[in-house]
Amino acid sequence: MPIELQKLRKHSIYEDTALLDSVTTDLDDIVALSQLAEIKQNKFGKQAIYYFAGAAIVGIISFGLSGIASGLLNVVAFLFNLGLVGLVIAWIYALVMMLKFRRLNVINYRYHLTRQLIEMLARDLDVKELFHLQLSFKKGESNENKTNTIDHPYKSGWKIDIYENQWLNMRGRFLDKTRFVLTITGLSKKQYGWKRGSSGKNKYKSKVKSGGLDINLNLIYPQRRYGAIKVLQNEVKEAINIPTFSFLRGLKVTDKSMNLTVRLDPQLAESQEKIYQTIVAMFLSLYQVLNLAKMLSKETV
Amino acid sequence: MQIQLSWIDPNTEERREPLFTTPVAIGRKFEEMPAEINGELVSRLVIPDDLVADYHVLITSKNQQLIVIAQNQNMGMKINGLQKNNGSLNDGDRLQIGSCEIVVNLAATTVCDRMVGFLFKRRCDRTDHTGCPYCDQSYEEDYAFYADYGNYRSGGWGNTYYDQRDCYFYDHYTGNVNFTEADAVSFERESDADFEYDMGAS
Repeated sequence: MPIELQKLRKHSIYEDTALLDSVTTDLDDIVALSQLAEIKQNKFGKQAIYYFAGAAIVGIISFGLSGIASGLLNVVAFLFNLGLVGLVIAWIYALVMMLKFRRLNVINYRYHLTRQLIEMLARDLDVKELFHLQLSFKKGESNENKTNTIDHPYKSGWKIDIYENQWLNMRGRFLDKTRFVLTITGLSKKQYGWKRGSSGKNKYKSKVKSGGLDINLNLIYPQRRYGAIKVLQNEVKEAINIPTFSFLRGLKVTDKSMNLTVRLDPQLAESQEKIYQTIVAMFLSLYQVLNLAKMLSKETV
Repeated sequence: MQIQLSWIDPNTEERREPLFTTPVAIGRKFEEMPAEINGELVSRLVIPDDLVADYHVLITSKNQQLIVIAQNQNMGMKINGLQKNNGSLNDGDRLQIGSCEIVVNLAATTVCDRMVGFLFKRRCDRTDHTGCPYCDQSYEEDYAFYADYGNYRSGGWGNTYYDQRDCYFYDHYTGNVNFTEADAVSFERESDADFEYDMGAS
């Protein structure tokens, strides 16, 4: 199914539940679209600068000519005015086009990472099963991502907004019938308020601070195949082997599922490679446990 | 498709069981049978019997189905005792040409027994390795993110369980994991006297 361009432009979200091939093709289309939009955005951006500069020069000349009262120069001044109007219209058009393509020029690392993850997961996925992907290209600090607002601890009258932007959610089923849900949530907070400057003027100030990334992986596995997980339940934590730049936030193990949450440092929150490494290590950590559980889960005859 | 034909040679009375790749032509004279059909090499089987035509039948495969076509309508053939000029063949069917009865068996297809998969290993089981997306993949770079992935050797996580893996059994009725063999082994090692001593008996 072709991607819905209007929806992508309006909401900056791609969402579909389809066969893996279809989702992969859509992602490739988004990559191509974003690259084209980047080129167009740069092109119209440059045009906007040229038209603006041209309009400024023509405007100055036109203003100079308007002071001279002569028949022929009046005609020239009229032509310059006409040119000025044309350049202003062209400038506005270039600006509008630039903004239009900017909306399609989505955040590169997100779709590249998603593509890389799908490639990794596809090795064990059942290609005939439906695969769900929700990929958001929205920036973190939007109202819909705001989860809480608190008073600033020591700046009077100031507030802090807390944002949680879940920009990736993928679900699927592996060939061993294990279902997985992988989510990536960007955390950030914005403090804002009025500040009195040295001149006595009040100025509105705001500052955004990233809180890093929360990566959550949930595996729901068949009890019959991995029943012995209950034997290993208390020792699963020791099998978790994640990169040093990330740290364990939560681990919950039951007979039927395992849930692992890892936090990535704020300075690495947009690093495609570091996020990928963390996710691969998370999958391998949990499967290090599951593979052993399978060996212990031979059925009695 | 590979097939195994079994028959007793009418002259020597020897049992023959060669393996052929389809298409297979059967007749009395080697040179009368085609060497190639539609670009495919033909396996030619010669049966020196007066009741067999120079080029008697052709066994070919289409959509994984084995088909036999008589090339000499006058002499015909029998499939499982029924006179026919053409028909399909299944594993174990008997094909009679002249006085010779041939048993047709489909040869077992060889499957790839390599272990593939990233998170969990499984047999490839593919019959066609051409452009195999699994067999040719190398996961070395990704495995580097979890050193010793898949190993449960001494000093590593899960080693104790791994060493005793044969002792664990899962009972799918109760959902319990039993350690029955280990109990038996411990009983074997421990004499009754030791057991009583441990229990504080005099």
